[in-house]
Amino acid sequence: MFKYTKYEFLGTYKFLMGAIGLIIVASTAIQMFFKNQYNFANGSPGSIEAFQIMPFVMLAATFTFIGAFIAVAVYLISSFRKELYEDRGYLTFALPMTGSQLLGSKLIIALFWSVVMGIVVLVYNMVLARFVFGPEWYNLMLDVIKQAEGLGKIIVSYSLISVIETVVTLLLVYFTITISRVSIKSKKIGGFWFVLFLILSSFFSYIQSSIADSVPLYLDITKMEFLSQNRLYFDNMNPESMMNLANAGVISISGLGFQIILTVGLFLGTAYMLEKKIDLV
Amino acid sequence: MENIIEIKGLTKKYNRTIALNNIDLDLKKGKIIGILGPNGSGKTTLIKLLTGLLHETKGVIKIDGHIPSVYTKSIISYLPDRNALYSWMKIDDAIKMFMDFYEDFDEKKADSLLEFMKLDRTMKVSELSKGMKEKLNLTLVLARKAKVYIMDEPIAGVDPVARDQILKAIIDNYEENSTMIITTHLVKDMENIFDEVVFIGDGEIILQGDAETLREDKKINIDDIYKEIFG
Amino acid sequence: MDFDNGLPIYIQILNLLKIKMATGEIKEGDKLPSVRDMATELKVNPNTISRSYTELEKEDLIYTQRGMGTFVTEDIEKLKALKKKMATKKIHKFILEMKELGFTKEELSRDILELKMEED
Repeated sequence: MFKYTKYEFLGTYKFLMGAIGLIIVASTAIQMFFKNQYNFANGSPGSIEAFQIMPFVMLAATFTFIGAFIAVAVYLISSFRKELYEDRGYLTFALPMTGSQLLGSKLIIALFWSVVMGIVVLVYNMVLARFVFGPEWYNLMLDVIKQAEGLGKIIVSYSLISVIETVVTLLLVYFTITISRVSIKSKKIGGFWFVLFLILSSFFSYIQSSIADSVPLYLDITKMEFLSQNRLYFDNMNPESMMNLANAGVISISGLGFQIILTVGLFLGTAYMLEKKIDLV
Repeated sequence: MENIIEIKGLTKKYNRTIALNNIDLDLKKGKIIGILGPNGSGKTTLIKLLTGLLHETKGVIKIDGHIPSVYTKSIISYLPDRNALYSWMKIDDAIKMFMDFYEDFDEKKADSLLEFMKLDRTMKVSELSKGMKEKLNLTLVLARKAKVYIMDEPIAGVDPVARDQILKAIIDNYEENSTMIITTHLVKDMENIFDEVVFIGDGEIILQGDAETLREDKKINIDDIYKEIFG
Repeated sequence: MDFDNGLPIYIQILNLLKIKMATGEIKEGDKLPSVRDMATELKVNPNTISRSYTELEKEDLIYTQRGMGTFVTEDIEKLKALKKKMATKKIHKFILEMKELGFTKEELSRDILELKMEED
């Protein structure tokens, strides 16, 4: 399984390190901008020139920041797509590995980079903020966080759910790219997969909510208690209750179950197509 | 002498186009076999079906008794008609990858072939000329002790000096226990290395036979036979 | 090496070797290149070379020693006989061709003598 993972990593790490580097630079510029604004608003002396340049820097940094994420998403997707549409597929598909091994490798590395990027951005900005804005602000934030009950558990569970979401999304992308390649022989209509992806994405979201609603089984992470609809912490009559923070830790078990089944289904389906149905014309 | 490849009723269709039409073909083990035909004849389709890059519409392919699968991919050393190496690789990376995936890969042989081809492990694939890429691909293919070597147009688009080197490397690598299947439309340059030749045109097998016997019977070269069939 | 139309390559190769043996380019007892080396050199199938060697072995012109290689016969008489045989064949062929052109035996002898005198 992991033989190909190694080469997928080697083929992607340079680009990803570059993108992460850019994000770090952009984050730094953005935070500096805000710090500069704050200083200026508080009457600290700052050069006029710096003040004039700053908005542009801020703009550039913001675009860079967003752009880097988009570039990475496009890059990881094209890393998969290339195998099915470009010459390199002749090497990849001649290698003695199963569809699962190929798909698994692509998935693991894409997921890995997504998680790494997420963590790096988060941690870097938090650490940087401590330096730029001072420890008092930082400790203030920590106090607020500590106040919320069970926040730790919520963060963990939400992180896990994000990972599952990412996996499902990646698999759906891979699935639609593969099925497009298998069904449409012409290489020119290469963008079709995206349309299919949007359609299926909406479709599965809809199904997920329907299942979550019709099979009302929930887990409250903070208390580790199972709930059903009528014991949920909100009350339709009282709109304010919707904002009740206590609801934040509630996960739909049926919805999650559906996602897991969907993940497995998409994986097996795509792996099967890669191994038995692909025609590299 | 047993067959290494057995094909029965093989058909490959793309929507309306028939690339291969109900082919029956048996290839004996230990031979150097030439699959000859013009572009579009179906020879590359046949190759890709053997190497698992295409899947048949109808029919059965057996390689060493197995249908195309992970196993057959592990015993076939395939030289495609295009450069498939990943652009980020150095020659060294490519060798490591082949060593990882193919148990029959011989690193020493690879190094000696690289020397013969005047290539260096530190070179980047993206910086190689077309001829050098071809020689590199051939090196990787011949450095394996595979049961079956499949080479799709190994000397096309390559200068005469490189052509010679490639032909010599192919002949030098020949083992009695291995089978070599080579496609080409440059018959004149290659015909002398074939034990057996198969002529394919319009998705069908037109003629198959021992090269020397055909020369003896028809009193002309394989290249002349080719011109007769496809001229 | 360019190979003629239609004649099986193994025959062309063994003819080539025979000529070399007749002219003395390859001498008695000389070691011949291995099948693989010759195949690579001439860019032909090793089986073809094998076949040529086998045929030459059948005619007792060469022999193989396990582990040592393939050698031309030590027997000078054999090589002389080969030379004579090849010469005879050529002469017969020449005579046949001349006959086809319409020459008679007398015309032929006279013309050959004339040619020989010119060369001298």
